[in-house]
Amino acid sequence: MWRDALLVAGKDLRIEARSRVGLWQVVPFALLALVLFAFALGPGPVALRAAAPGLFWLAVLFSTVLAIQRSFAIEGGEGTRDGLRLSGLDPAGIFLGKAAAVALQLLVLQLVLFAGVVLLFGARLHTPWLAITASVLATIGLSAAGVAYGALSAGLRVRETLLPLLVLPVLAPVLLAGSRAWAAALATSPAGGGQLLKILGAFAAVYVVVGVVLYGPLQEAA
Amino acid sequence: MKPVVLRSIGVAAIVTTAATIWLGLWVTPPDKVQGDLVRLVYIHPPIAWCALYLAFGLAALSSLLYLWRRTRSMFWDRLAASAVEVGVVFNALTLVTGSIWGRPTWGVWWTWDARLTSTALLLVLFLGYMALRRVPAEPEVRAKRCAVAALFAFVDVPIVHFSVVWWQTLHQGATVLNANLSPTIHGSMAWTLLLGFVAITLAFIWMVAVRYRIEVLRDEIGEEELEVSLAERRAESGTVEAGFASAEATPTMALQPRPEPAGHPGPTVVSRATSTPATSSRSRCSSSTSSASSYAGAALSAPSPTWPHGATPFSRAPPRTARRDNARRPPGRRRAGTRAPEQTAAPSAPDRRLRRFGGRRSVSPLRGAREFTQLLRHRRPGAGPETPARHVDDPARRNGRPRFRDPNGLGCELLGVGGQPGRPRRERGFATGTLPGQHPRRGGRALRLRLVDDLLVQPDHGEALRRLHREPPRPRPGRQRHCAMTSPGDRRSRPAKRVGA
Repeated sequence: MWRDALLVAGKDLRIEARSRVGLWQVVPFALLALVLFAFALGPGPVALRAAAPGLFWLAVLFSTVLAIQRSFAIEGGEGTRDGLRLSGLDPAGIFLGKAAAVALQLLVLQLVLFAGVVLLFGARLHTPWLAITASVLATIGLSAAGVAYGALSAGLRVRETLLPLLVLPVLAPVLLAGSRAWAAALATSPAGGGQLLKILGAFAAVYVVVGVVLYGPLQEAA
Repeated sequence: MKPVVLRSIGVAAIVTTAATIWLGLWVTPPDKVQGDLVRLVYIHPPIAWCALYLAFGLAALSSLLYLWRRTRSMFWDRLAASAVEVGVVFNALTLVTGSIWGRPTWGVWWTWDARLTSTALLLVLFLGYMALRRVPAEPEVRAKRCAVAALFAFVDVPIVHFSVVWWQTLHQGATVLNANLSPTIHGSMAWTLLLGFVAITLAFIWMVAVRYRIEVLRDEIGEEELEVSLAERRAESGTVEAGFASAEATPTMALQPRPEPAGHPGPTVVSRATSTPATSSRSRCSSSTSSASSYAGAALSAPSPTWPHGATPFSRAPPRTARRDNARRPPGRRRAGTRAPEQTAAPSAPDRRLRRFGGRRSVSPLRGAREFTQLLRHRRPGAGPETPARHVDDPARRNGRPRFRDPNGLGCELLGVGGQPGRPRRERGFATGTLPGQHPRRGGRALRLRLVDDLLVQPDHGEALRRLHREPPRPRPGRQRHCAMTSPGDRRSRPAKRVGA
């Protein structure tokens, strides 16, 4: 399973490194979203700084949808899905591999976005460990749930519109807990961080387990 | 469920609901604090209970039972669908009645209370489920996909709940919704509330049962719809091909008369006007090959590659075995109905082999599917659209699924290889089949086909399938060092090379 996961993740990342869709489309989109949020909220630094964690995670959430769509657009090519199925790879491995590839891209994206938040919104990080732990846990959850739903809507003609409808409500806990955790990390005292990390961890664990179990039937159904 | 039972549940639901309304509005006293507003307590909690616990619990349970192989049946799928649909209605009603209650009590229609927020999120989650259900797919595929979606949504519910609770306790002071439900509730009020629960639960059961029945009937109609649309499609394809033939004005372009299904006389034989019955099979093959070169030129000169693999529709001359005569068959084994008698194919070598391995049973029962599998080996001249300009169909835009026309002129889409080999099924134009001579028990692969209502199908995608089929059989899991995956860019380069050569 792990070897398969590595293979699939390597394949996805290699395609990504060659095509650079993530770099030239998803990252600029996320930064653009930050700028647009600023336009919506007005130029007041206080309001922007207060809203920074939420806007950061909102941008991450939207970019996750894009990354998932991209991740499954790769498989949308001629018979690639059949090839993947016939290749004898463990479905759980495929799931983990794709999720790992998405997670890695999301982590890089979050680095860029964090720089954007610092530069544009004037946010300052007081508790880095909390922010980093929250980011890692949230990213695992986001990518696991996202890949599960991506597989669910892969191969459908209406996937572009269906995927956000399906996946965004599911990811709502990550947005809630992630933005609260980041707010705590940006504030001077990290109050209530542990509880939020518990939610993020539970979300990640649940979706990784459910994805590993249910990816097989999903792949058959696609 | 028997109609009598169903009807009695419905009647019981109406009676209890009427009793609840009567008790709630006239008999029970108004509340000291809330006045008449408290009467909402007789419907709001029961509706919420039905939506949040009964409906979505039932949906999750039946989805789980569907996914579990031992209990897999369409019953659970339909039950889940019905429960979710009714549950979404009840969930919306919960929010509406809660809002109506909240406006005079709290002064706002909506507050970011934990319970309200998670209920609203639940509504959106299961709206997504319903949207997924609306996506057209084969019933089994849809059932599996929806069952997985329901479970995904269900495991999210506790996380949503806790995250929202903690989010809002960190955010603002908790708004306790249920302070109204004081434990010292008046006697008649308690009884009315209980009756309300019974009434709404009965109504819920009745609605789910009716909804389930609708689902069953819809599936039955779907079966009949297939028959009707098959007949319509046959008639239509006959007209279209005749139109092509006259527009082309190529006398040597031999067209097959479409079969005429009983009860649906279509303009099928019009196409025969262009074909000469005396033409031998050889001359037909050669004529189609000669016309192939001209079309190849047309395709090359076209600015966009109309043929994704660089092949024109006629670049491959069909082998001799493609044309056969039904007259050669013994009278008892002549195929009836599929083709005009003098042009029906005798069993080819692979066909005979197929019959030895179980004959019809292993091939799709979809009419014409056997011819279809033959078509994969030898493309029949005249089958499929005639002009290259018609082939605007780019398989890359169809998720890479090859499309064919079977000899009846029906568009078929190859859904995939694999599935349940050796067990042909047909549901809503969905079929499994095997390639002739490749019975699954002998290591052949099953095909999953779907009938597509589309004139723009690729007649010559058989090559891709044959290539797929010639590949060595599926390796055992865990043995293979690499997976058969390429980036889309690698594939795209191929037709350009071949066209250039």
